[in-house]
Amino acid sequence: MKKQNSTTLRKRIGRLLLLGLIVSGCGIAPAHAQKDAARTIEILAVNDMHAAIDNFPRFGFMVDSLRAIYPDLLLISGGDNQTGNPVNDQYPEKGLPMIELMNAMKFDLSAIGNHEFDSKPEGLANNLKKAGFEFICANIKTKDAGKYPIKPYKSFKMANGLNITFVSLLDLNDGGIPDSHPDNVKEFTFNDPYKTAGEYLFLKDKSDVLVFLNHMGFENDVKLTGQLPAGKVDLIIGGHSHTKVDKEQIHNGILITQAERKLKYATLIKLTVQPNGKIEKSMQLLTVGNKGKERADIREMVNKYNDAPSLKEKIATATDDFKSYEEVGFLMIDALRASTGTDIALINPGGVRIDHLAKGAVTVMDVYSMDPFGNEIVVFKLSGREIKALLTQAYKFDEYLPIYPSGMRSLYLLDENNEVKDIILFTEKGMPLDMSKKYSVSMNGYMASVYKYEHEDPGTGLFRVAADSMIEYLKELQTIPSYRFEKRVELIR
Amino acid sequence: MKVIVNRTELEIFRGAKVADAIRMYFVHHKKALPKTLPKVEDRYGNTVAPDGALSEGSRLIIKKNNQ
Repeated sequence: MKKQNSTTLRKRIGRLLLLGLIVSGCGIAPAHAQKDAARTIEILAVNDMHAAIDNFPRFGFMVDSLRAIYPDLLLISGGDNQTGNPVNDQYPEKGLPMIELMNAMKFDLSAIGNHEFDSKPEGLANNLKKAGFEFICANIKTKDAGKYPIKPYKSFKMANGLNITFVSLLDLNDGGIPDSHPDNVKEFTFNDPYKTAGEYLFLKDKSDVLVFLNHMGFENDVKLTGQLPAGKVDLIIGGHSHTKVDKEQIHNGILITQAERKLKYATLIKLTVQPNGKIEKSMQLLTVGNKGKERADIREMVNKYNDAPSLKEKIATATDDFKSYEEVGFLMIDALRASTGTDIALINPGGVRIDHLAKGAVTVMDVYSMDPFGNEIVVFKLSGREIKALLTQAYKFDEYLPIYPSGMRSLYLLDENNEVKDIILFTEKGMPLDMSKKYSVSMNGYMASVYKYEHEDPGTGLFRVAADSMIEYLKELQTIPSYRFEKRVELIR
Repeated sequence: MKVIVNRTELEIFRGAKVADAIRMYFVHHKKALPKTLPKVEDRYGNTVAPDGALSEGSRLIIKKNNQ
């Protein structure tokens, strides 16, 4: 009996020793002693948050819960943290609420997305300065690195001894710049992202894991994998195309993730480095949203931003009441034309959402009431003939309502069935519009996509939200004239 | 830029989003615009949001409501 007890005790001690060894292998032993064991890096990646600050309290709770399980969790953004919520976008320090929330969440790193430039050069510099984490982009160059401290890559040494390096690439459009207004990026030059990728592959020799943190769009990330030598890059965390990658996408041996947009989701990525250097990769798309337990301090911050007075402050004064869609539409379209500097601006009747605006103070919220769609501005070079074709097509498409113009006037000649017989176009001074001359014409993205008419120029997006342009216009204008007797469109049956 | 929706190649303005291409597709085929945009996937079977960016040659597939 005594011998049996002694044997049992020895077995128990043996098990405890074994358990101790296992525990030490899981994190207590120094890094050099762990190279014989598999080691894992956990990353929580989001992208294209677009100032979805109302989801941050929930996201904060999720991140805290994951950090309790994975204390070394890396929290990473694939860029486009900015733009999409007036509370953030119209904040006195443009974009600062997002930066402060990301600081509170202890983000480790962010890519530069094209919408980071929406804060304009001074705003971007301010956001970079106030961020408690680094922004990276490898294919951007600036002469003022002090003002814009953007590094091409960032390495982390993890507690388990692994080295992980992130390199970032930003998509360029065929104008050679990111999808942003040219004025916003004038202090930068950009290099081809695909060529740039090759210049940073050497980092794999210095790191256990090499990640591209791209803002290129999913299809371009796949294209990039086809140009990379096998075994150099382990993971691409993507953004820009708002793609919901909910199942593993492995191309040329590289895992590509993306978590749609606006903090609806986040991707939990696990990279396990085997002793032989082989890396096992897995991902899981987690739902974030705004329902469920929240982090209280983040909720407090978000409530403070939502209650900020800036959206309710006067930005201009209306000298008269606006009493029709037409009057409000003329104001909107004059703002669009002035802010784009185009010859002509057009807005569809459905693009004007309120039919009254009281005399007196006009606020940012009033502008978002007029145009709540978040449509971006598109500019075309159209001949007088093409403008006429657009207006003719639009009249029927918009259920027999005319387009509101700025920079020209229109006379619709209709038949007994309300169909267009002809439209005669005039300059503002009443002269016939030149049917052959090319005019620069601005309109919203909706109009640019739904009217089918013959035109040579497919158009160019300005990557500027129409409502935001109107806010800037009104801030400069200060005093809004009366549109009570304004007549730019006439219909004759 | 050119994008492909289902099997239709469309010439659309630079900077267009997924929703713009889908709307253009409906107009091109003389179909009424849906009140809510249908589910759209890329060529790899991933769902893409209406405000997702497009690039030259992007391909979109409109999924039927029950898919």
